Amino acid sequence: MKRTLLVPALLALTAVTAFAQSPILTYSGTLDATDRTFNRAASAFSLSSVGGAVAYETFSFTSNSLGGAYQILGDYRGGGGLTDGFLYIYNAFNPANALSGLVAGDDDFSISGADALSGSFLADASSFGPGVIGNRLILDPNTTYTVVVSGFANSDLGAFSVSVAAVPEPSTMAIGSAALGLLTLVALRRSQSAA
Amino acid sequence: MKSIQLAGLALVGLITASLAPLLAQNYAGRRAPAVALAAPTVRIRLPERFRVLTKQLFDLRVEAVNASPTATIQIVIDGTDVTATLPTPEFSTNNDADTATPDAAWVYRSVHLDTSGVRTIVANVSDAGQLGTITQRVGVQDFNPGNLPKKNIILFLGDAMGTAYRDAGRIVAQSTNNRFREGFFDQLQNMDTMAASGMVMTYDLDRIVPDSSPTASAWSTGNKTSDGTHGVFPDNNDFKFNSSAATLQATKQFALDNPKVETLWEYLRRLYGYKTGVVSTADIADATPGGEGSHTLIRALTYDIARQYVDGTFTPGPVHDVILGGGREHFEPATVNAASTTLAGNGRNPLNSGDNRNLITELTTNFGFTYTPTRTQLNAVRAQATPPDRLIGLFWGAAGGTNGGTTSGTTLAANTGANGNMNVAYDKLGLARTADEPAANLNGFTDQPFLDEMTDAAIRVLSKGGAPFILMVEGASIDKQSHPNHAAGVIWDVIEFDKAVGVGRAFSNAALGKTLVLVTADHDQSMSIVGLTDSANGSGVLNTRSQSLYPRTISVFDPILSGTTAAPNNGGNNTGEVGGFPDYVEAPFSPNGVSPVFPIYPTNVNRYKIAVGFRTGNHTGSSVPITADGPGSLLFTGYFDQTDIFFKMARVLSTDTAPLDEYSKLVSKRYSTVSPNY
Repeated sequence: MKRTLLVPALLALTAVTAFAQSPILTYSGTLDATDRTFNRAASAFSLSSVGGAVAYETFSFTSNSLGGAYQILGDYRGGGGLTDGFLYIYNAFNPANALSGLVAGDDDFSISGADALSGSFLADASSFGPGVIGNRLILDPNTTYTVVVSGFANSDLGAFSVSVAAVPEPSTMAIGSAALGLLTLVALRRSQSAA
Repeated sequence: MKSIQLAGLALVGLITASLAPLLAQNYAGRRAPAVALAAPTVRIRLPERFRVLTKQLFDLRVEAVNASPTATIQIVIDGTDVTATLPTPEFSTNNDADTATPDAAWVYRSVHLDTSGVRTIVANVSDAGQLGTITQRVGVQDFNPGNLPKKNIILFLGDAMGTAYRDAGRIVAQSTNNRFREGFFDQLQNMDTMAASGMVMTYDLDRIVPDSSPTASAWSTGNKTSDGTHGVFPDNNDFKFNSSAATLQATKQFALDNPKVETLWEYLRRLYGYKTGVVSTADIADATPGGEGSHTLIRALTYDIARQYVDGTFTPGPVHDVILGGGREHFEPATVNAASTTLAGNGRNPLNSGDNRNLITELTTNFGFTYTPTRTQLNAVRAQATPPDRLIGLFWGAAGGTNGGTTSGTTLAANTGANGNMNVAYDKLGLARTADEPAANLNGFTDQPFLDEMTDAAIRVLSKGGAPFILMVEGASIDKQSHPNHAAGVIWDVIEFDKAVGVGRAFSNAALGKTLVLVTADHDQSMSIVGLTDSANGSGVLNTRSQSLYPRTISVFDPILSGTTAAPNNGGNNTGEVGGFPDYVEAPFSPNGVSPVFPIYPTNVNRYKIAVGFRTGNHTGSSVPITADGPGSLLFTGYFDQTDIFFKMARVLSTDTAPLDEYSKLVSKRYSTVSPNY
């Protein structure tokens, strides 16, 4: 149940420019016997049959003013790492009804990847939910989302970390670059004025 | 389209015995009999254990003997008289071979049942105060995907690929570079590493040992049909069909008017906007590819099968978006365009086909198809950033009705010839056959694609735009080379087929988990793996339990097409297989400057090579394996009937299989066993 939430000092700037994939925040935790449990979702339409009482932890973040594509990386490596994990994003999380408010879900391991220890929440073969558009996770702007990290099955416990980052659109990258250039220019002029 | 609308009908059981006197009285009141006749004997021409999906179209044909032209009919479903709601039936008399006894038949076209469960259809026929009645039960499975994400299906069909054929492919292709060592193997084929596996029973409506037409109908329609039949059921005028050249066109109506049942390809296209396709190394109007989009009592009516691809059956217009294979002669007009390749003087001769249409031009001009007659052109399509919307590729055509080394070198009647089969990979690669197998006859078609390339092209076209699709891919010459006992041709077709499976699985793995991939066979054949041969020891055969091969059996004719089953020839061993397979050379094969998707065919320089024998030159009745991967694949475990493939595919498409699929993941993640290849 040990949890750590790190918010980069430049979060505001990152949210405005939105062209770098540096994380908005990272969350570290450990699923253990003290965590609450729920019947997780197997898809956007059905609850799981093998994860009816899995431990979970949650944290929230707010999308930037542009919204769009996001990447959520789960890392389960290291001694005592989570044996098998599932990631979800909710608009409003209700553990008694895991299908309500579900934006996206992703089994972090592929069928054949039993030894895989990390995954990307750019949509892959196991991603589902209304937020999964093509091969990307698309979020609304200025919206607070709840990220839920759970085990795959009831016995899955262990440490993990999750990072959240915006993924720029190509056009956004150009705008972001221009914005950063403008900010840099303004900062430079202010610096010169101060001198 | 008129149809039975049955949604919401109360499930009231019909007590026929109590209703019959009342009906007899009613009908007797309408028409006073002049003389006392026997009661009509009534039959519904649906097979025993008929099953459909909700809203799946089928024709309801009722036949009555002792029924005059003024006989009347009533249809009752679950206790409710629906006669007035049915479309106007086609009515005919004097249908059967008994001209002395009057008979009548009613055919209600394109009816459907909209409520799941076991439904009861009663047909009452009344004539001259006499009533005949028959009851038919129908199993109906619900199909309602609602707002579930649409899933794709790719069905890979190795024709005749029983267990020995799959194993032979693995031993030959995966034993290269010393990966096969005294019984151990280091790699499996693409088709052997799928999440689920089962066994499929293949018998058809009238035979324990089926041919490829009813087996295709089994998985495509969910029902058993009779030998040589695509998606229809027998009726009592079938005897009027005569395949002789003089009467073929005049009598083929009796093979094309049979009661039909809609295929899953047609159903998904009509109701759910699916894109559909068939890919085969056979004549594309042959049995297996024909089973998804044609309806005929006689599989040899290949020109009509091709015509149905263009015209449609239950709905007008093309039944497929992708058609790739051989059999060009069934699509081109008799006078072939000079730009066409090598098919001078063949094509849709009106004497054989009944018309002189240019089906290729119709598809390209009227329906937006792109046509590729060569591998070069197909690969150019594959290289396009934006694939075409629809694709037809016809890479082989029979000229004069001969098919050279592709099957048995036999000349077949042009009007019955499913003989435009493509060459196998072994021949396309230019490898030398063993002494007992005929040299390849490319028949001028030197630019044929490989099945993996055809599969890749089909998937590119079908997946364009995001609509779901269903695709059948056939490795045809596993069967066609097994009929004449050509082991090299057989096994190399398995190898080529498995590369195509790899293309489908790669798409499934990358396509957001929404593609079910199935690999199975339509029926078995008699090849057995009898041991190994030592290439350093002449004709020595090692590691065989009996120290000898099976008696040699050669089928001179293709028995399916000729109707002749060659008797086993026990005169000697199969010397070609005693010699084993030649050393394989990794093919430096990149014709036309385009590399195949999977360019590497195996190098086999092992001293020991597989030895096989054939007991017959024909199909056998053994069950065949099926392997499955992707959503809902666990449904394909166990021992089940071939028609269940249809209903299992439908269940996958109409149900959220995620809770089921999690079990596959759990097994893979938690319950794996120690690998022999550590």
